[in-house]
Amino acid sequence: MIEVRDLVKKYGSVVAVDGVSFDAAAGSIFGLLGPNGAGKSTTIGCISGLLRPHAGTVRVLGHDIVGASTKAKKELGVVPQEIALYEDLSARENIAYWGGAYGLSGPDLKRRTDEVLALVGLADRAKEPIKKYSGGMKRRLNFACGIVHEPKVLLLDEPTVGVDPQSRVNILDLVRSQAQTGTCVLYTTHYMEEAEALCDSLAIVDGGKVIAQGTMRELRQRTEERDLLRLNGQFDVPHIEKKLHDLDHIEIIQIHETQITIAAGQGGNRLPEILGAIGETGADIRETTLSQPNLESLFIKLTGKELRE
Amino acid sequence: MRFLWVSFLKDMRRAFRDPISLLLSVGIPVVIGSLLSLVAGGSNGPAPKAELLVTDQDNSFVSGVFLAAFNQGPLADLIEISMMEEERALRMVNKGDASAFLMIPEGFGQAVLDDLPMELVLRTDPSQTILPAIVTETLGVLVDGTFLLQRTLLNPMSDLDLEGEPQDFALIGTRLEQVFSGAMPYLNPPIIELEILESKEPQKNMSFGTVFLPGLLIMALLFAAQNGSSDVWKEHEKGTLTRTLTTPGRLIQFICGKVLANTVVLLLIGVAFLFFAMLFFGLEVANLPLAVVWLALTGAALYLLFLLIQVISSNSKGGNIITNALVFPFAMIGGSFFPFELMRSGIASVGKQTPNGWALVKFKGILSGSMGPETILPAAVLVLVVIAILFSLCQLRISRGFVGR
Ligand SMILES: Nc1ncnc2c1ncn2[C@@H]1O[C@H](COP(=O)(O)OP(=O)(O)O)[C@@H](O)[C@H]1O
Ligand SMILES: [Mg+2]
Repeated sequence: MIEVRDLVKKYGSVVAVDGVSFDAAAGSIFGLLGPNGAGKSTTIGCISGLLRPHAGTVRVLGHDIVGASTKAKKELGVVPQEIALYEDLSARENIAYWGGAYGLSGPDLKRRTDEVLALVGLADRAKEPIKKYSGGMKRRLNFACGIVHEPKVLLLDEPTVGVDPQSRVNILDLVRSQAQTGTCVLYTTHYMEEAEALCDSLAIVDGGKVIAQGTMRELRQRTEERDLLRLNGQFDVPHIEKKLHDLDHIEIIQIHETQITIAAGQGGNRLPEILGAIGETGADIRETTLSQPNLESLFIKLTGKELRE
Repeated sequence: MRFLWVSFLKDMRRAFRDPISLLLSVGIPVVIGSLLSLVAGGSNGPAPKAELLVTDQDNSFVSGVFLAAFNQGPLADLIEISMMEEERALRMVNKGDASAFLMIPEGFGQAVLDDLPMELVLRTDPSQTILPAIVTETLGVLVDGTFLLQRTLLNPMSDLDLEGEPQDFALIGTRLEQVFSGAMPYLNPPIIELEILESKEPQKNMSFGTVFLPGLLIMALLFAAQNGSSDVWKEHEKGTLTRTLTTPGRLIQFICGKVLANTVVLLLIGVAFLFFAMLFFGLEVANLPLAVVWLALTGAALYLLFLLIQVISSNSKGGNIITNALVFPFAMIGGSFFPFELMRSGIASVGKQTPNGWALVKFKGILSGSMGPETILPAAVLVLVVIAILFSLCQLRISRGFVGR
């Protein structure tokens, strides 16, 4: 339903999106996972017709976003990263405006307004000016305004940033239920856990490029089921590199004087062996973390850096 | 077109969500302006001067004495006389560069001495009210005085009790009248007739309220338009403008809705003013429909002017500083704090070139009944053209660059 091909978007000399391609299907949640500045919002901006791509194409239900922008926009629901609402209007009035912008009116608008207000749990406070709302409530309304017209394609740009845990659960449930009713959802986030919990398939982006892409299963397999061992302390880097080199099935992902990250098959069982080897170099190990293979380890493996920095 | 209505409703709701701040944003400058006007028009401020152009074709002793009377004590503070040729003087009065033009025909002196009927012609600037009135009243008294002069064997005016410094022409009038009232019985029938011609149509019903109030009203519009224009930055910073661009709703309708909503707000302010003026200053009801139309056009144009400045500014701070910096001087020179009638004619003629000053002159003309629909039509068409141009520029700027694509 969304078809992105070789998308390029530059801001002056900064290439924010650098040849991104992916497809997102109806009834599923496609994730764009990447750190801040990876180009997620810029990609969403191009798909929603807000930004003009320098190269590449975007199609929404077959409509080119540049050539047939009105047709494409009619199918889209957009929930921007920033809360883009009228603070002095009530929730109902906000929904009426955004619904109206998508061509809803009269009884249809009224029915949908009631539905989405109930859906996001704001029905009982719908008449208040939203400047009295908490951040979480605004987030939920921000979401509601994007789905009032029952779009076939929903673009969500980090819809859970800065919300309380309860609103977060609420929003994630809403996203799932949207996909279940056949909507094609594009979901961007820098929370690896969210992507893992939510997405059917995923593109991991960094520096404007897709560095890994596939279904959640395919991506998990790419981590090769290796555990990730992270050590903090004081290390003699050349000495340790040499020591670890002698051990089998170990890959140094990243090594500094104060931190080492190692990928190892069955890391739990091999912990004594690895720690022993490092200890022999006279290292001062203060903290040890062992994590199961996940998207984070894949990201670290691919980029040599952590997702959240 | 439906989205235009949606956008209009949204902005109307927002404007009226906080009526107090809307009223304050308009009310405070208007109150300050009213106070300033009162001070300027009151007895403490510098007295305004009327410029009286004179062509003396008589050049006699009597005409000399007659004109010298204008240079006496209090009159000298109120009226400044410039001698010049008839043609040039007429041109200046018609252009509004002087308050009035007095023509003293040949044989005036002889006629006074011979006690023969005589006619003086005074032309006044139709766009000014108070200063020509000062000249007219003074001249009326002087004409009577000249007659008295003749009766009292041309005693110099300075012998009359004209000392002291009354600031107000009405006061001078009454004082002079007190002086002459003793001689009134002799003044009948008057021999010198003063014919007062106005350059264009005579002005009906121009009271103090109708001189100051229209200026204050245009100022209120100016402030409300500035206030409304800053909203486009709120839309930008909040992300509602960019979010709107992701919907199928068209930008042109979005801006149209905004302009309409702001125009309606300005119009409501204007109508409230006019209603007030009608109650207290007896405006002619027949002129009001045209006045309202003119206010709507003026309001839309002023709003768009500020909107354009806002959207070509690089940030909201810049936009607000520039528009705010414009509002006060424009209100000041554009005849809102000190009416054109009380300005030096040079400054007034500059002030009348400002958009709000220009609109104010027309607005006063409409209220006074001197400008009807046919007279206003060309100006209205011009404003519509300006509105269309400003609108296109705003739209162009907002779609390219302002939202940062
Ligand atoms: N309006 C803009 N002007 C200039 N550079 C921008 C603009 N928006 C984003 N960028 C740059 O483009 C890159 C991608 O930004 P963005 O798409 O917002 O990333 P993300 O949403 O993944 O955090 C960043 O380097 C950012 O600094
Ligand atoms: Mg972003």
